[in-house]
Amino acid sequence: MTDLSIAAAPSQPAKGRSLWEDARRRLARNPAAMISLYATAFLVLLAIFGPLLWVHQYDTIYPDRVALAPTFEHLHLLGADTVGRDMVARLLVGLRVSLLVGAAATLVALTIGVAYGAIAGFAGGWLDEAMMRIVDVLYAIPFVFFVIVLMSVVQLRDPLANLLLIFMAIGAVEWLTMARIVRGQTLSLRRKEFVDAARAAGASPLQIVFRHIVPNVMGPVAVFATLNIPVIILTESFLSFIGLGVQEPLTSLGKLIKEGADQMMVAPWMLVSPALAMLVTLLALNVLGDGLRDALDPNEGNRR
Amino acid sequence: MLGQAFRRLLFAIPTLLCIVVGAFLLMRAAPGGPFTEERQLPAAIEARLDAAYGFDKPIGQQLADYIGGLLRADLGPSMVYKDKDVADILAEGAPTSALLGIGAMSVALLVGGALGMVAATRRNRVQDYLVMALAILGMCLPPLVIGPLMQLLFGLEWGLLPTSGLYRDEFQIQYLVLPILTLSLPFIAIISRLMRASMIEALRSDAVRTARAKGMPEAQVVWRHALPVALLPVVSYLAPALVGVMAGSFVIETVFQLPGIGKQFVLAASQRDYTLVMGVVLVYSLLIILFNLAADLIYRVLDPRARTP
Repeated sequence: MTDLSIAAAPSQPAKGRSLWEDARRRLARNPAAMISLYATAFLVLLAIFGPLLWVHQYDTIYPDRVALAPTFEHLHLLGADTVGRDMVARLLVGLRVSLLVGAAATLVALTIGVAYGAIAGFAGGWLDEAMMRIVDVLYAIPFVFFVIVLMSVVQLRDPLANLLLIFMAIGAVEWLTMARIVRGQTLSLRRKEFVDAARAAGASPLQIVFRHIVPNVMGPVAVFATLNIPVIILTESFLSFIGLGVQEPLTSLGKLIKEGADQMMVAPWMLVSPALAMLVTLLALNVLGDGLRDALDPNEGNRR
Repeated sequence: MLGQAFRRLLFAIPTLLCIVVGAFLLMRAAPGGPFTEERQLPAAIEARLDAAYGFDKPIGQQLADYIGGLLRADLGPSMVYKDKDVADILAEGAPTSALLGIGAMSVALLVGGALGMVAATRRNRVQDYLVMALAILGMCLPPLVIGPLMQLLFGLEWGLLPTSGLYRDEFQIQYLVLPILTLSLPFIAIISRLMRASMIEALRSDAVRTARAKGMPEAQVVWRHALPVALLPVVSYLAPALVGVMAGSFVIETVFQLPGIGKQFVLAASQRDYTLVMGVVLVYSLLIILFNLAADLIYRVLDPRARTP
């Protein structure tokens, strides 16, 4: 669950590193990004503690409250779904699952991508060539199809294990771009003086890569991670939409939207609240990611 | 350049082989098969079914047979639709999916490109902020949210457009309006952001400054000098966009009940229709590889620097 703080990670940099301090200041001057930072933090807290604190459980069925419209009675503030479960509770759990999938899959993608890209870029020569050729080949594979096949093929009984599988699958797909970004950064870093200094001090190549190169590529990595979470949330909701995502009674924002879309005529509140929650989540993460990019790399990307 | 293209095509062969073998093994690793049903079939019937489709042979032999079939351009029979070949099913769905995909890509390129240009040339003015706000909103409203809402508003509330299906007696284009719009929205958003960023970059280049300095009208500066350069990132986004459109078409075809390939694929994966799944994966992979190649070639034509690696 601590993975969820990944979106906020860049705001807690190591002490005294001027790049991060600069970035923090630039971020603080960008009101849109700051609002999204707070919104993201709020959503993360809501996802972690919301389901614990709310009066209803997400899987409790109230047979007498099927498709109940939003009401203050029994605190069904967002109504109940067509099975008779409280929508607030389901929304909170859906938010939790969506954020968890986004964060965990991003973490998988980061771990593989950063290690792979840094090693390829630092090694150079034939190893770099071979490793990046492999990435090229993998890039041409339509992974959406593989995730779909994988999801329909491996259906585990335990909903949580199934969830784990989803984000492993998605993460294993998303690392390619990360590897390319990190390799590019590493190529320019490996000729820097501090790398020579480390080598002179007797550090082994692997030590140089993980102690000295990787910390220095974290800027673009943080931006990529933040912008990648919404992409993964969308991928998960896409899987849920075609019936391959999280399994009942667990839910995700995408699954809730799918259910809402099916019941649009009977219970429109089932579509409106998850759609809005999805919108706010993606908006917060995207704006935060844009802000981080502007803050960390003022010469690149979406100039203001 | 032709040599380059040829080498890339050769390179596609091992890629495709990887895809075929990977998908084949993945499908076979799945529990259950195309003949698994609620009712257990008698053992004798199952054995004969297995023999008819070659499931009784060792897995390596099956794979070799399948690849042998592919070399003769034979995608095999569908395992769920007993009277159809995979090629038939693909041919039935292809026009719908192609229309949907080409339509969505065209709309996304035209509208997204235009919006991005407007935003870049009116930078930091109302138009810019409006376009960027729309773009980020568009990225956050995926087809599975917009689709049902569009159906609700245009179809049911206002009764302007048909909400689902593709035919009433005969093919009618208005059935595709909502699906194409819905599918293209996220790509309009991404392309307009890309276009804006690269256009701003291009408008700052020395070439543009020179063009302005010799008194060229601003419109001509933008269209003749900035636009070709600014289009480069958009061109390199084309291939990933195509992959996204293909994936998006699954949702769209389900929401709007269009008889396309995407819908077939999702069904086939859950029904363990091995050959149909393989067929779709293969055809779409081939399309993606060809599209990647085409995008690269266009890029080389547009950007002289990329010609000499």
